[in-house]
Amino acid sequence: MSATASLGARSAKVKPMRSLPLRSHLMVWLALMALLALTAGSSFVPLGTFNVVVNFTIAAIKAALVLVFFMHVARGEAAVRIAAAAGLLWLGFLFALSFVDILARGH
Amino acid sequence: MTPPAALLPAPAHAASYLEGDMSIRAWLTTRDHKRIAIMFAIAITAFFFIGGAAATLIRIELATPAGDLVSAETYNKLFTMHGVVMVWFFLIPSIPATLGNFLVPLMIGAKDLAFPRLNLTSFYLYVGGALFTLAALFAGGVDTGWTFYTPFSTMFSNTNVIAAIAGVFIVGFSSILTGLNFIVTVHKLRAPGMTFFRLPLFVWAIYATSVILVLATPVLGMTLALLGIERIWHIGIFDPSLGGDPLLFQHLFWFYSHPAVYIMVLPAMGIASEIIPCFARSPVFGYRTMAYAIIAIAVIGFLVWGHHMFVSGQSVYAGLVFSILSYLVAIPSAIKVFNWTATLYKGSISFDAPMIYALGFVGLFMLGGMSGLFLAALALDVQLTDTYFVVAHFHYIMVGGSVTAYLAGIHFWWPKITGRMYPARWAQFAAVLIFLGFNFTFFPQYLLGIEGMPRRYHEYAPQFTTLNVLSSAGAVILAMGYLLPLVYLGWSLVRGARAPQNPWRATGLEWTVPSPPPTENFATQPHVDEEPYAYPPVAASRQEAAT
Amino acid sequence: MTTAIASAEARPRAETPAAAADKPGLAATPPLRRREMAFGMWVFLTTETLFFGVLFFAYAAMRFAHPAAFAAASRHTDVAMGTLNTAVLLTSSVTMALAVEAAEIGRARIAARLMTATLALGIVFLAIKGYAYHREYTEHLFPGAAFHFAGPLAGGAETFFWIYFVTTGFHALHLAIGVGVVGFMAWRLARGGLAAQSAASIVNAGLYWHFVDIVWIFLYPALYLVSRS
Repeated sequence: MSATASLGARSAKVKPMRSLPLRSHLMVWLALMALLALTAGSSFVPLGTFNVVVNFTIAAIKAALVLVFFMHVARGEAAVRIAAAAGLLWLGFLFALSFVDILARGH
Repeated sequence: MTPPAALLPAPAHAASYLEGDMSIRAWLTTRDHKRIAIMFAIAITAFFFIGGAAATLIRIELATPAGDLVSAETYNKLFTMHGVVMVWFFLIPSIPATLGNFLVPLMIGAKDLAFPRLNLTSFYLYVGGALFTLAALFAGGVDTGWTFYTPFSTMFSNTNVIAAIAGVFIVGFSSILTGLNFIVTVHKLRAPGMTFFRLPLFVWAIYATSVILVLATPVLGMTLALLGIERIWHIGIFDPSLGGDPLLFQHLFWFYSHPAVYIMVLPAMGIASEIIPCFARSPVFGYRTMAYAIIAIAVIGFLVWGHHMFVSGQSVYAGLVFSILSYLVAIPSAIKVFNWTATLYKGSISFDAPMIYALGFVGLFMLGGMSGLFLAALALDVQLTDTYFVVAHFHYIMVGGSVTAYLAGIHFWWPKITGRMYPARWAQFAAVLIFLGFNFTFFPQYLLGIEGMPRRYHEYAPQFTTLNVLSSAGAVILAMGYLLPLVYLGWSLVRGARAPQNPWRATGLEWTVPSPPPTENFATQPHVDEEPYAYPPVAASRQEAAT
Repeated sequence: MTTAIASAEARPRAETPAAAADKPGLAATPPLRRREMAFGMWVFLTTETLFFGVLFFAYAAMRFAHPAAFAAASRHTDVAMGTLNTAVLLTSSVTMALAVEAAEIGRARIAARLMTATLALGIVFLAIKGYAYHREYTEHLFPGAAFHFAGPLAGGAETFFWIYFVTTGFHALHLAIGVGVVGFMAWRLARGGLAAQSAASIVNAGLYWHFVDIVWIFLYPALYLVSRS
């Protein structure tokens, strides 16, 4: 049946799949587990401020893996990507302008 | 796929959405965007007059310097009720949920919104939340002002804060669902040929408003949730005595509430952009600039919230940044005013009621906007903060601007919505009366503010008496102006002449269907091959020639 | 589903012939309707991003104000349980993603089983979280009158735990809703196949589930790993 691939805008070009993409999902799972081990392990190594950077960079990578491989954000329409990006951008507005105040308070 | 029913030849007389099953049950369970729009219109009108009643009591109290009518506590509860009801239960849903709901599918050539059931859910969330808050406001009242500032709201106020914010929280979900519905609808359901740059500016405005609703409302929701949790738990992040920061609340609150002003005024701009070209018989000046200006206002509007906090103790550096950004938002706003003016240039203007309202909107919005420039100035704002200058400023934008434009839109599309014409002279008279009454009420408040009268007090020094009496007298005229449409529009429902399909000879797909529109909106799928605002309209004159 | 068909009439663009081959009753949501639904879900997730964003904002501001207290308090969270829970939730995202793929190719029974696995993992997460809450409560880490934290950093530590309970609480609430939705869909799928539960809705449930997972991906370092070294 051809409802298979009608998710994305370019779906018509994608051939219907007959089996589950077990291999690719297993790879993503392994990557996620490895990153989890890395972030948990690294936080026990004294890196100073760098601990925070490593932790949140890894979190961002994990989130990106979920977004790309499970939520198919890259495969869908531009409008979907704009919606996703807008959420992050607006969160950026909130953080950036509030911290202009918070960081400069008392100066 | 079998051809959908709507593509088959339509019956000669498709039943209008006001025919068929008119039982209350059918209305309350409808998924027709037009019926939901009507239900929203009835609900917000009721809330408008509840908020108006509170305002009336406020103006009666302020007619004399002594605090003689109500106590200070009652006065606090009155202005809180006025603010909460008017902002969240009238202004925020006003144009999008009524005219937007009714018109967006018609204007883009769709049968309904993308998610009709969600649309009905949105209505019930609105009514439920609003009634909940209203019950809290009547049973004991709330004295925090509509802004719910911490730490007063979390630690000191002895009133029904939790119940009030719970209702506002619920209404927030209504906003989110309505915004989401419009965004998906505009993206996915445009008729063939209806490209983004053929969309009526009203649709652009509703689209931009929806983006704000979707991006700002969740922040308000979670902030109110944190406020409620803190009030119940007596611990939290806003309480300075426990290492919290009350300014966080203000940042989060205004991250929503400043863009909320644009939720109110962008749809108003959309209405003016429909009406002015129609009654000037000339295409809107700078269509693309107008569309870009709408988007620019929606985006920049998110970057200016700190100008509400100039004297709050936020860092001066942040104040400078917010001040500069606030000036930026004036640019697209001014572009719009200039373009409306340029649209009038060499037009053949007629002063039907919608046009008088729309021109009134432009003038009042401009006065409100200009006074906003005063308040964006860091140093001047220190003098004007929390005076009547601020009160006058935002009433010019939100009442002079949004409410006048809402009435303009109601008068413009009334024949389409109801299928009836209203008495033109009465409508013109009411439009002028409202414009005069409004200025009479609120212009004195600019002067009071400059002289230093603070807001939110139930009594004042005797030297402010004259201007306050003027303001209260103006409020009487304004109140009569607002009651008049209720009378003659109500009368028109029964006695008004049948409205033709396109009484104003306007462009736009909504005027190509009968008045009132059929349940299915369009008998056949419309195709758009014309640029917007092709005035004088070819299609309309062709129709006239045919009839 | 009347609304789907209704809005499918006012199509902006011509549909691909793929739609014509849709078997009635089997994942029969027209492609454009599916895109509407998916886009609607993405817009909803945008609102959720900002909803949780406020919590992360509160966290950031308070951590900036009380860095030492946040470090000390974070060491009192149970990192082993937090890590285990992260693994559980990440795994549930994999099973959910596979369930969506299965539904897309019409394998209703496999999809139902994968969704059952997903919701089981979700319940495991909530159980572990509940146990963690219980332990923290007995250790007097729940903010309020019974809160006890030795040393001069008690105030900031209480703020940390307030944020900890509020954020994980909102997250758990979202996950519980996800468990309910996925469970309901799995039940309908097992009973009536894709005729009873359209693949398009399962796609949306999947998007929601993954979003809740992503929130936790950021909560994990923010709450458990502030200062472990």
